[in-house]
Amino acid sequence: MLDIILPKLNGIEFCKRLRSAGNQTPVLLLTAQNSSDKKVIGLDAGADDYVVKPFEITELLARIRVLLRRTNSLLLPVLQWRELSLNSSIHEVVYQEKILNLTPKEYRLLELFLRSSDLVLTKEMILDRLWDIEEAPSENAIAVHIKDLRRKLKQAGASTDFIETVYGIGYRLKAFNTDTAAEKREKKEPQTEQLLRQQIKQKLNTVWEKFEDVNSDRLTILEQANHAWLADSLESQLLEQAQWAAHKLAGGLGVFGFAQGSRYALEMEELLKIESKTDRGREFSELLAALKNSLKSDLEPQLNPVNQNRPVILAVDNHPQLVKQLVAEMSALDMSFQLVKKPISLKKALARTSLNAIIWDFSLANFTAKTIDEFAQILAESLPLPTILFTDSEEEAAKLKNITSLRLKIARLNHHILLQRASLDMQATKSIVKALQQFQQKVAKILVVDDDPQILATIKNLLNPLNIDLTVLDKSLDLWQIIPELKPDLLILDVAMPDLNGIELCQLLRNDCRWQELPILFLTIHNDLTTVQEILRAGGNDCISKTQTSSQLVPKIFNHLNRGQLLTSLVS
Amino acid sequence: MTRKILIIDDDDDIREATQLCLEIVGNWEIVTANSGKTGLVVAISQQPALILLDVMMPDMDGLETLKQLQVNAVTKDIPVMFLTAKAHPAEQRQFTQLKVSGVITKPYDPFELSNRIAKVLA
Repeated sequence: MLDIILPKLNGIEFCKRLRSAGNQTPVLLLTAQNSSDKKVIGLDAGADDYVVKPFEITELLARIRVLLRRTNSLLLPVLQWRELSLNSSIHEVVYQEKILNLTPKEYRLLELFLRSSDLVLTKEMILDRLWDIEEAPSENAIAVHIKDLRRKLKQAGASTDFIETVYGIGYRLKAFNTDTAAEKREKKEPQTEQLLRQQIKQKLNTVWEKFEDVNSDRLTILEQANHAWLADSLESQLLEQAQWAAHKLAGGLGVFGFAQGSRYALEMEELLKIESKTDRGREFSELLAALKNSLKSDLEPQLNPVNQNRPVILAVDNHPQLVKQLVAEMSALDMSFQLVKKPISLKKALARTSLNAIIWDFSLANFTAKTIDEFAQILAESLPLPTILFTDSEEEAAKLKNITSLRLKIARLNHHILLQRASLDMQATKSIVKALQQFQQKVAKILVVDDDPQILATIKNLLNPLNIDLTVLDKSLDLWQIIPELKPDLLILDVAMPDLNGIELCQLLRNDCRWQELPILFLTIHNDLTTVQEILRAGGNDCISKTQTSSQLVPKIFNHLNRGQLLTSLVS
Repeated sequence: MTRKILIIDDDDDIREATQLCLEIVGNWEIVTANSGKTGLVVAISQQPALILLDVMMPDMDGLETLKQLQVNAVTKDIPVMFLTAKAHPAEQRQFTQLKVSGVITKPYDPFELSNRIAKVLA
């Protein structure tokens, strides 16, 4: 909180210097100067909010809460791209263990690229974000800064096109791989593959329900054959029909996820083909009963493989006392949790659906890169999980060999990880436990507005298994009625809609103080720069291409939800 | 460019399931036919990049359909993969003697199915 009129260095000047040094701490100007001009000057200097004295203390507190919430949703302490990591809490940039010595402007430029890794940044956008209007340099100056930054990245071992030029448009971070489409198909990221599998299972479920009658007819034929067989009156026509039915079930059940049922049907088909059928009727009956049973027992787990419960992972490095205290607190509160030390126990813990939290007690000092890789592999196979990491103090860590590469591996585990040095006192464990509990109970509310029923159905299919309270609207004008009652945690808008389009809706929402912090994601078929810029200008947080909804939607939702929620609860 | 794949299978449920797996995982354009006969017509009119052919079908089975595809100048070069619930080595051998690009056993894994198709198309 900063007053404006101060001796020697005034608040505005102080704020400007803070920002130009790359410091992003939220600043709230608190002053008796009430004119609109002064407010504009203050906000342009980099302040985040402006409160005029005299003020209501409750309003001041509310505004502070907003700023803290926004900080937590906007700032991730460690930003990562390939081998490069930027730790904004200590202003350090490391490429493959080499520290880069950057000027404040270069640092902020790199930070801007890392935060907009899926965008092409035009020179205009860069100017707009990094320079004040009065001090804005020419566009050539940006080219010079980029050149210097590339040179320093190259010195650290990065390729010269780490920041690549998009001719005629601007610059962007070079994408990870440029494989052909076929190669990409083979190398689908484990997490993407898992999401796709989940999507396939969902849709197969619908197909299965649609053709339930066909399969139940096949079972009826097998039952008829069974009766006839037991009565020694299995005629060739029924036999042929039964063989056909068993054959179809063997193929079909397997496709729909009833692996065991498919095996039974295959055995039945074999049995029906045997020439001498005497005394084999009983065997057939048993297989039929087993097949029917397997369909019952497989139905729930196979077709609804949902992860209703997503435990929070609390990774604690080299801090036995903190772990002990957390365990004691959780036990006292009857919280379900598991303490893991080895990758195998993490795997087992993730398979349990009743856990509130997993405490991963580890020590970087005793870990090898291989052990971390094993953990990473297991986490990559799960849905994105909120993870908090408490690491050792910097001084202790510095004594360890390879600490940077180990840390990088940890930071890459998944993008929800938050690094925090364990400077917490033991009193804090109570509030950590409480935050975990609240996080677990919280069901995120998501509102989707799109006039295309097909898109709405796809989103429902994708989000249904994820314990999300989903509301969909197909008319943009209905939003005003719904949103105040629903108070969603995240809003998804279509860009092109009749009446009011998504961008207009977003502008209107951002003008209402209640919805200024609401994460708003856009669904768009137009991924061109102009649309993206329009969305960002209107206050949108992210864009999802409609053609990539299935792969992008869930990770982006989790990303925006998780950033805010867990940290907010910890902070409060 | 999206490549077209033709699925010929008399089972509506399997056909639909296979279609959605390939659409989701492989992002291919799918055309379907519910019999060998329709399959031939679709293959001629649509010129798919690959045909997935069920073996056991009434009237014209997969083997007969394959024969017909191979004598038609328009369809003879389209790679064909068999879809079958039969897993016996003897039958597998019989299939390999035919000019097919692969045999996929039901139940299949959607990703493996897509990968095998991608390899044939590569």
